[in-house]
Amino acid sequence: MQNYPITKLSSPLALIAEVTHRCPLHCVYCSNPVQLAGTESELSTGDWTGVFQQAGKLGMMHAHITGGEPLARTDVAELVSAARTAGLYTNLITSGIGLNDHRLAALMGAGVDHIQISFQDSREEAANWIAGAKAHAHKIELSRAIRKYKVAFTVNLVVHRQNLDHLEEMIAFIEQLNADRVEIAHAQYYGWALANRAALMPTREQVEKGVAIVAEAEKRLAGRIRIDSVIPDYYAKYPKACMGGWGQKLMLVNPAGKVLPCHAAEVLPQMTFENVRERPLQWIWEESESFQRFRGESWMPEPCRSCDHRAEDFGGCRCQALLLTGDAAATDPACSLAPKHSLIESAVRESNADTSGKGATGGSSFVQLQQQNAALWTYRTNPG
Amino acid sequence: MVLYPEGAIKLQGTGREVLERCDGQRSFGEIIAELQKEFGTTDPEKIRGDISAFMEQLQRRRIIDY
Repeated sequence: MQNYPITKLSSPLALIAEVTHRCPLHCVYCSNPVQLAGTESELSTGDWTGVFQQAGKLGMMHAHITGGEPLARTDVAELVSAARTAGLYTNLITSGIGLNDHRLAALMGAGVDHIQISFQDSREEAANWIAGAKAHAHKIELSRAIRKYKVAFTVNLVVHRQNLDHLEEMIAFIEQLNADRVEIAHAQYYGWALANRAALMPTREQVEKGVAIVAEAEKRLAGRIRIDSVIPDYYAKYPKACMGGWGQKLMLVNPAGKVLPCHAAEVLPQMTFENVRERPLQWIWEESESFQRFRGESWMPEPCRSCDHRAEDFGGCRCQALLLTGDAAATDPACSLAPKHSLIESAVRESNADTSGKGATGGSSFVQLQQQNAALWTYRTNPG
Repeated sequence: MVLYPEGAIKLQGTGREVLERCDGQRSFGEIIAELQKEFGTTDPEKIRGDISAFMEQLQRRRIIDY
């Protein structure tokens, strides 16, 4: 292992706390790893309290409590309270399933700053079909309950080949939910979403229309709802600045206590990730081999090493490089300058050659949709 | 420091003076009046214009409501 010198290392900004991989939904685009962490290995309430305290001391500002479905744990309010006590702005990222008036009140009492609920579609049957569960109606009900409290509320909408054709309808739907903020996120191809890429990847026409619709909505809703959206990297010229750079801004602790620089890093071979049960967060941030491996520029191959964009996108995503080229230290193939960019180009070509398989046909029930499209995708399963 | 869902803003100087007064009690007009008094040497209309623009920016980010 060579030595990767750190010239100026600042504190991480945020902690992503994946408190469980259990989830009542089975979304086909889930970014959790295909190898989910088992229930048995989950950190205890006390373990998480220690993690939040360390995160606060390390200078982190935000705790994003996510999963799986964080509400699958009975101690979420305690976790929120522990994160708040540690001085962290606390964001609960949830499907809403498992939430009721009583639990919502407990979360508010614990001081949750922000709640984010994801929606799969504006049309109930299609939403349930994508989630593999009857969840949509319940989510609407909960969004209304959340709005009774003074808490920041974001609706997240994952868009892809199957729902982009009615983006305007979906934005109109979200407006009614009265969110402060909307995230319109294209599915990113890791974990379950990579396995289902052919069914999820939009056509160029869908992407371009989508960008125009979002721009119009941003203008119309300015001052009322803030929209954050990102162009999917398969259709961009340069890769995404994944996580703001490896080991630069974020730390993710998975349900079993493993500390990762991003959601997908466990796919990287020959890397050992430390565990909060064995090492302090500060040591992992500053000293561990895993956080230093792709930090900064010294690991970069050409064309990144001499590229003008290297300080903006950091050579793109290490996990995507591994998943598509087999080499985690390659330039992200999403970059138009990457030697292996043809991998992206061929996926884009395939997605545009076949414009069938877009969208659920109207009037079908959730179960009918599942049966009619049984071979289209694989649903996320649950950990053992 | 103001924290919001996916970020943070470090406010110094006048920005901070404005935001510290956004307490849910004071009205827009009251905040302007207070700051016009505090920064008496500056043209009151310029103060009003600058603060309006600043607060509009914060509202666009959904950090404040007014």
